[in-house]
Amino acid sequence: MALLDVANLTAAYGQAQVLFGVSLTLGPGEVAALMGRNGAGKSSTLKAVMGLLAPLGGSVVFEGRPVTGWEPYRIARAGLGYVPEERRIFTDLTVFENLEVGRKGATDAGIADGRPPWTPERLFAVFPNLAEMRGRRASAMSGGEQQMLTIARTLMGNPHAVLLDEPSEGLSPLIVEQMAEAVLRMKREGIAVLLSEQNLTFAAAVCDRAYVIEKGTIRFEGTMAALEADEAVREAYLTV
Amino acid sequence: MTLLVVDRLNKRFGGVFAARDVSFTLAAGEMLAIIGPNGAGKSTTFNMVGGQLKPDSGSITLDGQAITGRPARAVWRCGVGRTFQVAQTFVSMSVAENVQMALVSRHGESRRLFADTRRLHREAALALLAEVGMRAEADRPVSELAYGDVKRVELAVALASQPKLLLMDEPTAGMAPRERGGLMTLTARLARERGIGVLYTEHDMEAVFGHADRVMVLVRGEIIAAGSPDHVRGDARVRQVYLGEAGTAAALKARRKAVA
Amino acid sequence: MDLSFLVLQSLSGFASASSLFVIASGLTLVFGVTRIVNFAHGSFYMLGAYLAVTIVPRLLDLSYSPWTFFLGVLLAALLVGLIGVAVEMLLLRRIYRVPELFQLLATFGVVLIVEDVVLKIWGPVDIAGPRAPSLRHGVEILGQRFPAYELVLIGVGPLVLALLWLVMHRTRFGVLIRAATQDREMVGALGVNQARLFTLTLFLGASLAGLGGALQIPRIPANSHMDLSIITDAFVVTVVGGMGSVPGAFLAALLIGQLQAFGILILPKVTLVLVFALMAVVLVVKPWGLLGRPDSGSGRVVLPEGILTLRRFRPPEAALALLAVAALLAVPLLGDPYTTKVATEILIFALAAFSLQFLVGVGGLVSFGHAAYFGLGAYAAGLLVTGPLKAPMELALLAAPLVAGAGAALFGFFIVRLSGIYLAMLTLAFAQIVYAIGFQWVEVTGGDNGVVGVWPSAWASGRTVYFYLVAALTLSGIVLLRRVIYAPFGYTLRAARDSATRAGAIGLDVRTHRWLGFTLAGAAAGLAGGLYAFQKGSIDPTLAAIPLSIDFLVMVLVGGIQTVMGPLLGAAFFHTLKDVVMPLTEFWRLLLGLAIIATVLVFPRGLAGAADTLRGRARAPATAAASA
Repeated sequence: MALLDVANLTAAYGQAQVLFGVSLTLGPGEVAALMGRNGAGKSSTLKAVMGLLAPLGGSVVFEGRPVTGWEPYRIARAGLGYVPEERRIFTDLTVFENLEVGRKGATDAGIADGRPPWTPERLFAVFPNLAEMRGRRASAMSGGEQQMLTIARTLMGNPHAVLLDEPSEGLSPLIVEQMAEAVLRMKREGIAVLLSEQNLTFAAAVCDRAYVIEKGTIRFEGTMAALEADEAVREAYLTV
Repeated sequence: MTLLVVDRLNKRFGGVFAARDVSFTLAAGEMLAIIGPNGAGKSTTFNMVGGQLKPDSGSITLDGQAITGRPARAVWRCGVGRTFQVAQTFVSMSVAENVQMALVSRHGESRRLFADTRRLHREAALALLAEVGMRAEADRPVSELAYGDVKRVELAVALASQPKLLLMDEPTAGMAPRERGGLMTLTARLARERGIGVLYTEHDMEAVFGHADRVMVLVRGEIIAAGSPDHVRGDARVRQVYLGEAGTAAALKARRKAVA
Repeated sequence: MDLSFLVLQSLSGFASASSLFVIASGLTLVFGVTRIVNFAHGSFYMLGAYLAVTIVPRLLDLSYSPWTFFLGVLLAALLVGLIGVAVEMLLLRRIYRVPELFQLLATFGVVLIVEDVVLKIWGPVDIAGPRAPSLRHGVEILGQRFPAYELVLIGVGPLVLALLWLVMHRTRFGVLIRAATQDREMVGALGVNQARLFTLTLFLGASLAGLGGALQIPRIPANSHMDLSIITDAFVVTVVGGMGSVPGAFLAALLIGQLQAFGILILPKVTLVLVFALMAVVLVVKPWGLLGRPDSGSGRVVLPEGILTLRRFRPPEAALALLAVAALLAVPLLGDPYTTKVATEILIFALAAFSLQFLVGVGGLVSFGHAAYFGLGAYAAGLLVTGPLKAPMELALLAAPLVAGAGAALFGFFIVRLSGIYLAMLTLAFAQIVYAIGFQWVEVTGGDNGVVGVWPSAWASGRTVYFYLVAALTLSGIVLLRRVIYAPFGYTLRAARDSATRAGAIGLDVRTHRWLGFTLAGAAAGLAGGLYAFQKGSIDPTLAAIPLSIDFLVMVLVGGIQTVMGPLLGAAFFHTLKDVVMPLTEFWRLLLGLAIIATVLVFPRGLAGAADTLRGRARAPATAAASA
């Protein structure tokens, strides 16, 4: 059974409709890419799934529970994490406090596969850079370090799946490599990831499956290898 | 001919150097790319040249005129047009009106109280839009355009003042790969035809190594390498702190394509 | 003036600073998290005082000790906290997503409602509170007596600051408040229940306001004017300190407390002005207050909500507008003198509202104090006619826009250096300066009573003639301003509003254009004010007061901020409503407050916007059918 099942999702910003029936699934422990041009509806899809953009129609089912139209905090507590496009860390707070905001109470959704819950100590082991600056204000961190913090902060909520919006956009090549490592690390921890991406090289390096979205509808669905082989689709919707 | 001379610029925020003794020159018709890790001081350098930030020390000379520390509108008057990392347009206006406003400003008409703005310089604005391939969208609200098209409109707005120098902060950020190539090719063509110097920052290796005449690498506010694209691509330190393996491969691919 | 006197004066400054901080800290917390400028914070303060004068004497009857006194004070504060919770759940929760101007108006609606409720429960007479047991005496300091209660107050401020610091840095709730102050949406996406966080914040903020009010009862009797008199001071403290910053508020409160304590010695007449002047100076040097930070969203380019969309009249609309003007112009010929009077006032307010719309809708300069320029115009005209000059009406009407324009140019010089909420707060502060001058400079302005005998010249003294004079002046003013909106100057203001960065990068001098625009709008409001003085026959400080500024905003918003002519509709609707409803009931504030809140909830785009939406709905099915 799919971990996340999105069916026929529609959404709009004010009068302008951006999603016209998006359907996709994400299996447990899987990494999938939602690819497409700027303005094709990638970020809007992730926001609508997360409840940050109110869906007009369709359904979002997470671990068998319909979460369509829920408030973002309830969806997050149900075990779906979200890493936004522009980092959006709390720059006035210390690294440690940023992680505290991501922490959730003991009553929330259980941990996947009986793995140990994420704690600041466990995260510092994974992201050693962060350990060195736990008491520092996030505003004093470099762009790459902030990027790692957004992921660590989301992991503090012990998500079963993470929505990752444009992880490679606007980053220098070296930090893009670190992001790829972080995604693979999440996968090893059994966390499913749905990421939106324009960069085929990045997606090919970390994803098992891909969807291609254009004008708010899914135009391709298949394995990453199939997408790489399908020149017609790449040419039409990705134009690499 | 040397168009822009930047000499030992320094800027500090708190105790941290965002720019430290940054010096470089740019010739008319030349494309110079600044690259570096996030937070390395690229935008700071850019904003000092564009007049959005005042340097702590150092000097900037454009075409023989000192423009150091002057406000953006004065820098603009000296012949600097710019586009922004996050596109800056007049979102409540149409595409044509965005360009018309630049022309109104160039003709010093911004204080006219009773003329009808929509009729002012419309033909000239349409001609500029035609150059960037946006003539057909002239009467659409700029807020409805796809992001790649907004970046083209920004270019038309920057060209409206017939600049000597174009500053483009991540011109292709947020654009699809093919749009990126298109915009950079268009920019390079205009630069060469009109002798406009172009200073730009980028993270897209194709845009940098495929289109720049020279590349400059900024790390923690300091220039660690500068020179031809091939020279910078081969620099060991640049590989280590910025390009990494994937970046180096992408740069090589872009060079091959550019040379071919 | 010896040393001991200075020390005592300074101590009393610390005592007021302490009280001011307790109140302002709540305001700044609530603003930080909810981004709502809460006018009702003053009402919470007033409720704290009224509840305390009710509860504390009863407790003291049971047991006469300082502990019961302070228990009563705390109880009052907590009750006010609960009222804050109710306000959050019933109202604020529904308006987090509407443009901030509407939020402000809605909270002002709460102010009006609370005023009437307080009058109904406690009556119009001031109620003096009991003194605190064991603290009624004076303590001898350097040979002078200083009230013991004031010494306690001095300690309360730092105590509250320390407790708040602990809450903000040592508890999860505090960390979440600080995170939400920066990015509420992200806090929600990380699994934090925003609604509960906001409710708790309101509880904390309202409790602090209530505590501030309750602590005042031995010093000042509870009265129904406490709300507006404290809210401007609290605004000044939060703005000077940096909105959302608790330590900033503390620093600002200290500064202002001392300024007031010593200002009253040196320049007793201008203490009110001094405080606002301090605010202007601080904001010019530090545009985000002493310890504030730039708004994180300030660099982004987003289509501002509730902006003006420029659309020419279509023929039927032009015909409709002409018809409406014709009907208005026919009023003196058909109606009775009273209707003519109302029509005259509608025209005057229409010009004032339209000039505000010019600032807000075109320039993006949200002014909370537009009545300042209306008032300046009115005073200029009124004083010229009644003062030693005995100038004729014609000269006075010429002077009104000139003086108001000059005032707007002077204040605007500071105002256009700021943006967003800070800009709005500074407009409010300058309006309070004008109000304070009108109120305090009794020899010239007549103080609270104002000046009577402002009559038009003989030829224009008939109601009908004066109506046509007003019509001619206001309608031409509106037509000219409308023309400017479509001209390069208006477009430049709009460009600067859409993206000041882009405007600067194409060589437009944003600040100068904004300054000229502000001056122009001020002059137009001044003309309206001058005309109003002759209409009423008198001038008084209410012509520059907060409620009138709010009325202008309501007119603009009720009419619909996105439309050029909406404010005219708003002026007609609102003024007629006020004129018809007010005389009918003693609860006019309550009704007005409810009406404002209902407008915000039901018609967030105003009457004209609602009409647009209806038209859009009518059109949408038609296009759908056509494309099918």
